[in-house]
Order: sequence, then structure tokens, then C-alpha cells
Amino acid sequence: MRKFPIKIHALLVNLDGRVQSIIIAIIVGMVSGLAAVGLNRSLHHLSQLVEGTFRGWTIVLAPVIGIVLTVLILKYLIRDFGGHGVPEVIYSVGMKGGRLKLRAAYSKLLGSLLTLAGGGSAGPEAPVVISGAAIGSNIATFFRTNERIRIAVTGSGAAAAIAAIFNAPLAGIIFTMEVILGEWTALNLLPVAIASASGTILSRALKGNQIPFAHRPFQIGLTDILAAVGLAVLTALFAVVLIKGLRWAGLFFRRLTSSDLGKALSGGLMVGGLGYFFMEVRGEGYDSVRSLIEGRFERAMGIVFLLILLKVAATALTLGAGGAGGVFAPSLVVGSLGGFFYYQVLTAVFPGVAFAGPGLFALVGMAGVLSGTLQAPLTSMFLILEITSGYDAILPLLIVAFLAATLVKLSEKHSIYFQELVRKGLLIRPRTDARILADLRVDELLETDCIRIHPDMTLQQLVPVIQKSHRNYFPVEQRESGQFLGMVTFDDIKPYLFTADLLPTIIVEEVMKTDLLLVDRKDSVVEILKKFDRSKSWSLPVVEEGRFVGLISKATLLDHYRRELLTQTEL
Amino acid sequence: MSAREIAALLHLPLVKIHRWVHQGKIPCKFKEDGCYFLEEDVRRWAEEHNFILPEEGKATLGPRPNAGFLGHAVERGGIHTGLQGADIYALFANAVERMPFIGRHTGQVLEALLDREEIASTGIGRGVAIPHPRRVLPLGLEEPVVPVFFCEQPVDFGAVDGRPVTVLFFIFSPDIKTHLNLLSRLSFCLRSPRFISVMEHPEKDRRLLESIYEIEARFK
Repeated sequence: MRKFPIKIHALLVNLDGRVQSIIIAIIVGMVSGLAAVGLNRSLHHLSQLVEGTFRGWTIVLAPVIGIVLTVLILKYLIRDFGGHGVPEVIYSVGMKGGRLKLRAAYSKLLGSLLTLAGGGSAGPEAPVVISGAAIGSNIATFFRTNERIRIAVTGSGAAAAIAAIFNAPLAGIIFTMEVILGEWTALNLLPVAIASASGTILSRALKGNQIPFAHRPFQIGLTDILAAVGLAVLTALFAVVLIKGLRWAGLFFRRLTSSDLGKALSGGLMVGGLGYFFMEVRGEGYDSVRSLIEGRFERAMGIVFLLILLKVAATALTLGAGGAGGVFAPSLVVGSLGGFFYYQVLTAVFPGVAFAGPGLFALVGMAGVLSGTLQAPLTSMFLILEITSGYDAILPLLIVAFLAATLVKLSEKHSIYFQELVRKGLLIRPRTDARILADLRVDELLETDCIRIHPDMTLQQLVPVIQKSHRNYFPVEQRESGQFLGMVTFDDIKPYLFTADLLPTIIVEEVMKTDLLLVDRKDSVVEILKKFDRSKSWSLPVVEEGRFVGLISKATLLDHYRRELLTQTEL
Repeated sequence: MSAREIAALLHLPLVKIHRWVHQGKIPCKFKEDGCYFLEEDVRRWAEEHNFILPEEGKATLGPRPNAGFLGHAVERGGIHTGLQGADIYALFANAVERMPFIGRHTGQVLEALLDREEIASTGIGRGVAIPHPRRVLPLGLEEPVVPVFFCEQPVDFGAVDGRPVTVLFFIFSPDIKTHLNLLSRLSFCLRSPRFISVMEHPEKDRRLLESIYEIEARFK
């Protein structure tokens, strides 16, 4: 019985890369789509259960329980941590060849389910993205793909997750290319597109082909397109507030208490309090988005503005307290509220002008804030197009998405996902200098054909060695112990070599350099380059445990660098 | 800042800066008569792109020693005649006694000189030897000292050309670079026939110094 699947496995392992990635992508798309729909469904049921159980003021306690459970389960049971997880995926495809632990496939899902069902303000998308990516990564490992394919398949998992949760295959593809992989190549696109499609198919089979936010067609005029410019500025502002709010909340909790449980308790209570007074800030918040787009939302201008700030606060507190979830949904909620608020202001200032309606502005606002926080204008534009199934809003969407992303960049240099990676120095994007340098290892660059010399040799004895060697650098070693003492360079001794009478009277010890910068075998190439810059030397010795192992020269480094660049160029 | 100044700041050729400006790789502003740079912008840009700006005012090569380098060192060491001794040990022991700058380190210096002689003879031919320690000794010297000794009788040093030694140029340097500089100066002098002939008349020590200064002036 066992023979059959093993044969298939062996067959798949040795398939052509493209065929292999197509087959894997279909499987990955299905599995991570299933995870996405699964989270969506369980969240729906669990939220209803929570709302049924906690009535009146006790609803304040629900987020406390949700976040505390999240922290406890993640920390002690699964040994993971909260947050949204997208940076982990980006780090994994950037620096670890797309490797992700299997537990990442379910830990954030479970965590966000508890956090969100309890009423914590966050989004389910990021947890779905990391679990989809982890599913992809582990399936790729199972089929023993190479790293290039594993990275693409890891991205495919993320694409399928987004595609399945929003019923939006294009948004899934573009999110992965723009945010996760950062490299638009055919090799990447193939599995990503296929997984996105298969994830969407699965989602439609289970949930039906429903448009998440249906709306009536908008009549868009020139005034609306002009008004979009103002909305871009406003949404960029809200995006910056959201990004800063998240950072401040992190600092606030770190100063408040060092205990994870203390953070969860205090944060949960604050979120619960906010949610008790303003239902709109609770959970993922798609109900308010729906009513905003459909034009059913009725709140005064001041309250809407307050709601925007409170939603930001609730999200920052939820995630700062250790809850699991992302900023995708909160960005959309803040964006739709922001768009609605902008529409209210517009109609108050220009009472005579006819605008396309609050629904359009809520939609376009969503694209603006999402584009700002994620620094992903294409993703947000296509997401809104797809989830509203309407092409009519394309012009204002385009303007707001791209303008907002650019404006946010003035204040925040990196997207919310990149920020913590940049801070830790872990962000490496494809096709950059850092990417190539990170791949090179000291051992690959090592030149070991150096002739070792001893400190008591005279220059006369050194001359034949120099004649024999094709290098200009000679490591000096202690005769008995082999300990590295210094280097003699051809340049240093050149002045004496042509004075024949001096040769027998100068010994190596007298001409060797001892104030050298040494390279460790474990040094990264970035560090080695810094040492080259500092020492202004063309070659540096690699020394391990006091012994000379080889030389690293700038010329060889360039040679290897170029070869590495050649292999990374895809035709 | 001008493109020229930026090229100097980054230690790059001017043409590269011009190319970068055309390709839009480096931040710059334009005026009617060309481009100019804001130092702050360029520094930030360099930092963002992991450029390490060369430190200012830190030359890699030390200044070239001045013309009277060896002459002064000989003057500091003094020119001594009538050095007694039948072998290397006796010669060194007597010479070290006559070097006041060594102070209480006589034993250590003697040992270091003999140690160096054991590895390879410092007899560089034509009756000249240049005894010196292998490493810089902690004598607290700020400038090199080269005491010159004329031997009473020629002593076998196992020199390169097999000739017995009659003149000793002891070399004591504060660092290895100075030592090597002194060596090349000395070997330059030794290639001059005039210098050799002067050395044959130890009584006229003033002439020896003069010829060192003279020959050194021609050193390139």
C-alpha cells in the first residue's frame, strides 16, 4: 500500500522545476485556501458565541480573555509570539530561502481567532498570510525543491491565502509580488498565479462566489477625481497615524510592565472599554465597512473622526498587548471611515456640488490607508477593485493609492512590515547588493595557495619564494607552533630587494606587518568589505584560532560577486 | 558643493560623479551653470547606500623622512674610535658600555644584539656591519640613534662577502618603519665609493658625517 505514494513523491522530486512548481502550487493553494476559509468560518461562529455569552458590560471582559488566552497559548503551548507575522515571511524569503517552521502554519491562526473573536481590534489577513506561507514552505520542503522554487512556493501560499479570504485572486498575486517577494519574475509568477487561482476556487466552492462588499455602480465625475487628491492627503495622514500609533503602543506597554500577562490584561481591558462604548472598533470591523460602502452608515462628522482615532488606538493596544492579528483589516476600516469623513466634510463645505456618494469615498479611502501602511499601491488598488467587483472607481483609486503611498514615505521610510526588519538589519530584498553579499561565504572566497614564511628567514631566502609565488602576500608563521604573526607584502620589501648587499642582513620579522585587520571565518562579506575600506588594503588574512587559513582579496571578491550576479539574472 | 568637491569627499573620479548625476543616482540640484550638491544630502545618501566615507586627514603613508635623517641619527649616537674586542661578543659588550642612551638596559640590549646576530649576520660586506635588535626595544627612544664604532682590529663577522668587519653601525629605532628607512639610507651610502674611502680614515670623524649628509641629500 505504501509503495504507491512513495513512487509519486520520488517522481515529483525529480520533475522539471516549472512542472514541479505548478503541481506544488495547486496543492499549496488548496491547503492555504482551506486554512483561510477555515479561519474565516470559525471566526464568524466564535464571534457569535462570544456575543451571545457576554451581554451588557461583561463584553468589556471578552477582549481581556481573548488576548490573555492568545498570549498564554502562543507563549507556553506553541512557543511562538503574537503580532502579525508578515515580517517573518519576508525575512524567511529574503534570508532563509523561504524556510518557515511548521508551527507557523497554525499558531498565528489560532492566536488571531482568539484575539479577534474576543473583540480585539486587528485583522485576520496577516495570520492567514503567514500560515499560508508556512504551508507552502513545508510542502516545498517535502518535495525537496531548491531554494528558488521554495521561495516562490512560500509566496504562493501567501497569495492563495489572500485570494481565498477576499475572493480576490489578482490581489493575492499582486500582494505577494509587491510585498512578500519583491521580485517580478516569471519563475515567481507562475506558482503564485496558480496557487492564487486554486485558493480562490476552493474558497468559492466552500463559501460561494460572493463579492465581499457589493455596491451599486457609482456615477463618477471630474469633481470626484479632483476630490481624490485631497483624500490621498488625508488617508496618507491616517496611515501615518496608524503606523506611529502601533509603534507608540509597543513602547507604552514596554514601559508599563515587563510581564507579558500584565500587558495582555491591561491592554485587553483598555480595548474592552473602547469596544463597550464604540462597537465599531471591535474585531476585524468588516460590518462597519460594509455598511459604509452600502451607504447605510449614519454617524455625525465628529463621531466619525473620533471613531477613526479610536480604531487606531484599539488596534495599537490589541497588538501592543500581545494579541495576534494584522493591520490589513484595521487599515481598511480606518480608510473607509476616513473616506466617509472626507465625504461629510466635502458636502458640508461645498453643499452645491454633487459627489458620487459616501460609498465611493469609503472605498477609495480604504485603498489610500492600506496603500500607505503597506507601501503597496498596486495591491490596495486591485484589492478594492476585486472586492467591490467594480471597475468604475479605477481613476480615483489609482490617484489615491499611488499618491498616499508616496506621501506616507515622506514621514515613514519603510512600510509597517519592513520597519522592524530594517531596525534589526534583517531586511534583504532580491536583486540588491546586500542580497548578493549575503549569499557569499568566506570559505568560497578563500585563497589558500599562499606560501607561508617564517620570521627568522632573511630576505635573501625570501627571494626564491617570491619568484615561485604568484601572490604578493606572504603570511608569516612561527616555525614550531604555526602561529600567525603577520604578513609580508611585496610592496613593503620592494625597496630592499634591489639592494643586493642588504638582502642577507634583513630578516622577515623586521619587515612584516603586524598591525593588520584580521578576517574571521564567520565574518559576513559585508563586514569584510568594511575592513577593506578601513584598512585600505587589497588583501586581508583570514585567521582562525591564531592560525592563518587563507587570504581574501578584493579582486577575487569582485570576480565572485560578478559570478553571483550572473547566476541571479534570470533570462 | 561642486562635483569636484564631492569626488574628493567620496574618493571617486570626477567622471564617475558626472555619470551618476546624468543617471540620477546621486542627489544633486541644478543651477544655470551646472549642478551642485548639498553636503548633508550626499552624506545621508552615502550612508543609506552603505558607502564608507574615507576619514579625513588620515594619510595612510607616513611622511617621507627628511634629508638629514641618517646623519642626525649618527650625530645622536656619536662616532667612536678604538673599539676593543677580538670577537663579536667582546666588541658588542664594549660598545654597549659606550652608549649612554641605553641607560640601565645594557644587559638586555647586548642579549638582543647577539640574538639577532645568531639568526643572520649583520655584516653587509666591505668591512661594515649593522648590528641591531630584532624587535624594537623599550628604550624610550623618540628618534633613531645610530652610534658608529671603528674597531681597533678587524673581526670576523661571517659577513656576506667574507671580509672581516672594521666599522659597526648600530641601529636603534623607535619603530620598524624608521628602522627600514635607516637601512635603505645606509645601504645607499655604502654604495658610494667616496663614503667607503672616508671610512678608511676613522680619525676624521667630521668628514664621515659630512659625507653622510652629502650622499643622503642625493637619496631619492
